Amino acid sequence: MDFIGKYLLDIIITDWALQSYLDLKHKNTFTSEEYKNIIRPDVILLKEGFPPENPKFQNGKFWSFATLGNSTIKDGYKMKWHNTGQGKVQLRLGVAVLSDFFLCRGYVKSNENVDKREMAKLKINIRDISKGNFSYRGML
Amino acid sequence: MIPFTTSPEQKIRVYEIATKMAKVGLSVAFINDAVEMASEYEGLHDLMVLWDEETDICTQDEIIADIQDEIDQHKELPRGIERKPYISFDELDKIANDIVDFKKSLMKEVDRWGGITKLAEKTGIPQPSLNRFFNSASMPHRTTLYKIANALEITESKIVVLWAA
Repeated sequence: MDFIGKYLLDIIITDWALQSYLDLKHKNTFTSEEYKNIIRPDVILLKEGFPPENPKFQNGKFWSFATLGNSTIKDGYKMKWHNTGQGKVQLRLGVAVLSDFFLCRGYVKSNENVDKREMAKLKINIRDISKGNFSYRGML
Repeated sequence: MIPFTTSPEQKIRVYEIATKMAKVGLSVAFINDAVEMASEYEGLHDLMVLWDEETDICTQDEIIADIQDEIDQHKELPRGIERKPYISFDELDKIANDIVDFKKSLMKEVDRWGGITKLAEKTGIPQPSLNRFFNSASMPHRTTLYKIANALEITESKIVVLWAA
């Protein structure tokens, strides 16, 4: 914890994040420019600490608790980008906030059902990370 | 306490859904694996409930593919933190292209052998899951690769050659 009461956490890239990223990139879900100029810098904002104080994180259309049905997923959050890529899709990234920030799966929210399925998977990821069982692909 | 552990009530729902899955012809191997994982992981229970509540067949197929993905990942889950090589952004396109090329060549083998429907029957992997496998640029799970290799009677070395192609 730093002197103003924020937790400074590392940003861990899990293998789930990498695998989803490979598929999204291959399907041209976002352009290289969008990744370099928008998505990556947005994720790196997490380095400022937790809870995030950057004004972007006060916007529920950018950062929110992860939910499934009426339940909030403990330690689960979502980053959101709108009208991304040529297809102008809604891009989401599941983030687990535990001992560090763990980037989980990225996905295109094409409808509510997809979002529910991805939230169920995020619960699986959070459980495995909590048990210390996961593959690590580096840090941002 | 480990989060998102399936409750006793949720386990009963899992067994009920498993019975419905058997009725629609999903393989015993798939259902057994799903029940085993869902008995521990609330998230897998949630996926099974979403399948049960879904009325659109295409979406149900997508959920079956999700469940199979989770089962395969769970089987390969490391005990502890496994450090895999870092991949830089500039390498991603090449890696994704290599994966897609590998899957295309494997799909040709499958077509020569008898096709994807036959492969689903032989391996017990649901067809929606195989469709996703062949159409995605994600790295293949070893579990899936070995099931396919065994069905096609492809040797380990050939799978490795194909993968490295």
